[in-house]
Amino acid sequence: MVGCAKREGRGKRGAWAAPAGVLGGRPRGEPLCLPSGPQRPPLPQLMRFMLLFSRQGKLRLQKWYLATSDKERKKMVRELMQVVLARKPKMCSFLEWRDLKVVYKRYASLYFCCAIEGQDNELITLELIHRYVELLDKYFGSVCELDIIFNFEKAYFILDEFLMGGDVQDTSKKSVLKAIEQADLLQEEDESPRSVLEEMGLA
Amino acid sequence: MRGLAVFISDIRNCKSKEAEIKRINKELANIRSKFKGDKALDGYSKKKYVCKLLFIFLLGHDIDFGHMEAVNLLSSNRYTEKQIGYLFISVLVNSNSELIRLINNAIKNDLASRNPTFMGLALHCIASVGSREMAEAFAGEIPKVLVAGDTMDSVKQSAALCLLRLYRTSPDLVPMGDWTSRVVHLLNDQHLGVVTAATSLITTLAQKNPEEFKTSVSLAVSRLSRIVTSASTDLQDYTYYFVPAPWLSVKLLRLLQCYPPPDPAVRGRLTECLETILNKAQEPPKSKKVQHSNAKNAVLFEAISLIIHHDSEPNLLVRACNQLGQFLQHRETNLRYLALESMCTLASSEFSHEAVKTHIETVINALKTERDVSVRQRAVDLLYAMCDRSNAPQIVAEMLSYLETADYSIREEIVLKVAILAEKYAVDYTWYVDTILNLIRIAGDYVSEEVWYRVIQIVINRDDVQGYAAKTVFEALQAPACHENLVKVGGYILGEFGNLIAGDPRSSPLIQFNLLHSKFHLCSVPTRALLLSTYIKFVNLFPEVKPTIQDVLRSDSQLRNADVELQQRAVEYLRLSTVASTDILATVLEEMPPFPERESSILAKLKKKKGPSTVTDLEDTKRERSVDVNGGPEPAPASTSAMSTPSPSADLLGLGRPTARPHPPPGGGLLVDVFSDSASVVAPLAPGSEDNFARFVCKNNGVLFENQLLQIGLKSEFRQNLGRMFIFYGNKTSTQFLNFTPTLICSDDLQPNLNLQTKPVDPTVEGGAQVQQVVNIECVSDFTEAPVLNIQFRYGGTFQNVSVQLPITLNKFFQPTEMASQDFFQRWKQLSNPQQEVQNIFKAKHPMDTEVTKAKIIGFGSALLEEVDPNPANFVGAGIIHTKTTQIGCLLRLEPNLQAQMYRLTLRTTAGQCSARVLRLPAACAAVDLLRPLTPPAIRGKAAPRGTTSLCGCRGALSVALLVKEK
Repeated sequence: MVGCAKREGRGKRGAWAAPAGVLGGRPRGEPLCLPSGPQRPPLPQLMRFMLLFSRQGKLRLQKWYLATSDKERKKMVRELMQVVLARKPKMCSFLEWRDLKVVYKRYASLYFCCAIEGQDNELITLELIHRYVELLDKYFGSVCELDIIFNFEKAYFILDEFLMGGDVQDTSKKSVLKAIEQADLLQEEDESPRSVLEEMGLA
Repeated sequence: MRGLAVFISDIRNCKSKEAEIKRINKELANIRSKFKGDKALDGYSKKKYVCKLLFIFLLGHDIDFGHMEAVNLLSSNRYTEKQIGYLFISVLVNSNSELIRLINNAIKNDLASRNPTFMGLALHCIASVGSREMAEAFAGEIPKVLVAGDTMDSVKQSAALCLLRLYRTSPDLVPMGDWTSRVVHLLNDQHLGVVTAATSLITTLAQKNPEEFKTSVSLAVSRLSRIVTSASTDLQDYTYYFVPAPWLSVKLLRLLQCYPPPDPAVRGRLTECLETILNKAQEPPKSKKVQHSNAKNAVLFEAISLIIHHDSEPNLLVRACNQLGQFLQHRETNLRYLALESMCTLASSEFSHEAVKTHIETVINALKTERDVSVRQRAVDLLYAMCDRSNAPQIVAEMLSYLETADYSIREEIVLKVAILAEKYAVDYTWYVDTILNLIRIAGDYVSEEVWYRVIQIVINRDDVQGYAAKTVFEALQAPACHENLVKVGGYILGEFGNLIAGDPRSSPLIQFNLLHSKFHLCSVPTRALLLSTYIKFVNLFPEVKPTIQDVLRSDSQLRNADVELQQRAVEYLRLSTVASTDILATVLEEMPPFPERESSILAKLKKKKGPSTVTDLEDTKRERSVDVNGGPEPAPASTSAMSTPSPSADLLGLGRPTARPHPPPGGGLLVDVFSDSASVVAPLAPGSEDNFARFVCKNNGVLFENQLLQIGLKSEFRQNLGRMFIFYGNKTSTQFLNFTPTLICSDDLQPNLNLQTKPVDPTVEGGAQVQQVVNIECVSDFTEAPVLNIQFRYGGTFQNVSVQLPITLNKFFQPTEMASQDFFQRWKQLSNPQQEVQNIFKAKHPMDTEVTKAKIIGFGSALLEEVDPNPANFVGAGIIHTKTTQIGCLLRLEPNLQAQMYRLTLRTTAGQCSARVLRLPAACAAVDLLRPLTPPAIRGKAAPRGTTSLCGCRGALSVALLVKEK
């Protein structure tokens, strides 16, 4: 392959041949042709999970993009909440945690927390969080934690419209909201008004 | 859904955790009874209850029912019910296969519904669950949806990402085909959302099939170019805080990182794009909002990654470095963090290494002033990456001083890094010794065994630093409280080189001894064991302190110590010091021979800590700049066997293999060895040689061993019980090897069973030359171990010592025998005596490939009998092992279990007792992979008997002690 010839020619030093170069550096620039080397190639961004939790450590939303056992999930959530809540304001929004990189941001009383892989782009993930918050804000009209508690299913729908399998599906605010609004319309058509008694299961 | 809202309020109003749990349990019971009740629930109620379950799940409770109801909902035709059903399934993914089949059915219907909303939900569910069963069901279908002309844009987006997810988890199930070329053209799509989703898919696919997606490069470049040159309003809703399509830009830049720099035409265009991105970073911001700068910089960092990845445009590299340099002092912590991180990768490029180095002061300052530990960690990483000979003293000094206040969580890593840098860039080894002792002083608790092993290895291998080391440790030990690791290093070094400073009355033998012994009682058992060895070495070095030391050894606290190891050492050393003559003492307690070259154990440790990926290339990139610490070759390919296995006893040589304390030899053989050629010592087997050895079990020719100096090649042929082996020694350097002496060593067990004859070779091997040695082999009787080939020579003033196992194994004398199925099983039954059969079950280390296994059995020497075993998956073989004294029939049956990834190997031989021995062979053999677990560790220990005796630095002491006892 092309890359191989290149590598021979260049000697050992160039990043092309030994891309990550260094400890702690992210192994981003991996040439394709290395025979299944230990380094991870630059796969597109894939989020592992997203968590929303409150300052009191209450989980408000969780979305996992890689199959993880219940037990492991609980453990990770607990551990990560502890780490993030212990951080002071003004500290940087990224931290290495286990073999992942965690990007988090606090909006009022809520922490939004994404786990990405080491070589992924941190800043764009940070803005991904912001875009999600904007979407929530637009939909609920200056969103607050209570909105998310009482309408968690909506929060899920909006997230699903925006992200899929851990990757951005569409970054346009308009198209995401349009999709959600359409769904809401369908819902209204669906639902015939019900009496309170019916609602309580008494009718 | 009012009921849901009421429930949520109830939960929120609970005063205590107990009340909350009570409320939840009540609700769960209610839902359960509703679901079980006779009255069929309407869709609305079902939806409500499923939502409540979801909420309870979010609160952290386990939900073990409701899945059926959810499946019911998602099969409904009503959108809201379907939506909730899908939500429940994708949040509470359940691998229950029964359920998955039902879900799959519903998904299939929705995919075929042509209703874009339903299709979207179905695709989401596939991506969320992403199990293999789903992949099996839909991996063929989704590509069609993706490229179909009439698919709506939103569905295309979902389909692309869904396919990406399936490809990630089960790439084998996604069929490649015509659709791939059409996917590439989605990069040209009108709809930016579609391009965004498709780019991710293409990147992942291109990773595995670069050829097939090559055209994506130019398409991506032109798309990127259109984005970066667009005005901030051109892209309408895809402009994010005045930055045009940042997500798509990042993804495109990442796609380009799958490929080498493109052809000149495209390349020019790409370079323009990258320059534009770099230029934009210098422009005044279009908005004060942090979102604007974050999005802009996200693209910038990705562009820098691509520049580093291509590593071909010095101009761009230097600009990138300058840009990062600016960020190093930015007021945003996030940017400082990322700049430090990115610069780490830049430091390894030859074009920008120097430019990175100019920022050293800023980075050191970051180490001192950053308030966030994760940023400081990045600074440590960067200092480590930018270190070279020119700035090593400064960087090491800064890291040492940072260590005094460093966060506990990163101390051990810093210790390892300092130790590696000090070793790698030491010009003056006194500096190295000082640094490591400082390290122990400052952060003794974080200095792992590997670090102090290494300093001892280096001191022992370098004559010029030994006196200094002895003096320095002696001085360091004067401190009233010193770390136990210092006692270990001090004890070891004084035991070896205490004589070098004994001339000074201030450090006379007695003072040295008293100093060490004053620490003795504060130390742990392993350290005390090491000190006892130091004492016995003192007995040899300084006869005048012998009575004092004997008194100490004789004291009850030693001789009757509750710890067996200490007691044994005390008894044996005392006896040794009393009975042995000075000559014997001098031989047994001789100075340690130089350690063989091997990968720095510290590096191995750091690799283990940080994962293998990150460290290897440091090695590669820095190799040219590095000094060979031991003046010798780099180690043979690093294998895991070179990693240290810390043993409880203070075991210095035990870095490679499990060294047992030498136990009394069966005959007197070992002793003879100790005395006969006491001047030379066989090096422990070279790291990695075991793998090589194993490869030779099934083949006869090839390279057995190679390091930077020497290559050993083999050619061999075998017939019946005789064989001949040609060994080729190649001098890879331009300097001659002197006193070149290869020796074949058969252990006592092996000697009577295997005859090896050879002639000595010329002691001088010219640079670049190759010498040949012929070995005639006769197999007298069956045997298990392999002989060891030990090579000693002098190269440029340093003494080299290499040991490898010579691949002469019993199976070389195997003659294949063909037989029919009937015969085979008849004989198989005849050999049913339990003594005649051995069996082993083990895990497959590599993919269980039939052809490979077949080749291995044939290479092993037995005939491969086709269509003999009723089960076609099994392998059977037969052969006769020829030895001078006897012939052994041998039947073999290998049963793979694909599901469990296990093999069962059964062997039956005519010579009952030797079955077990023969079995070890396939062991060694396929060894390479399949049969490895069989290799008995004992073979190793025995093959290099004296390599193992260096425990505690006192060669052969035990055996001598025993000899003395027997007398």
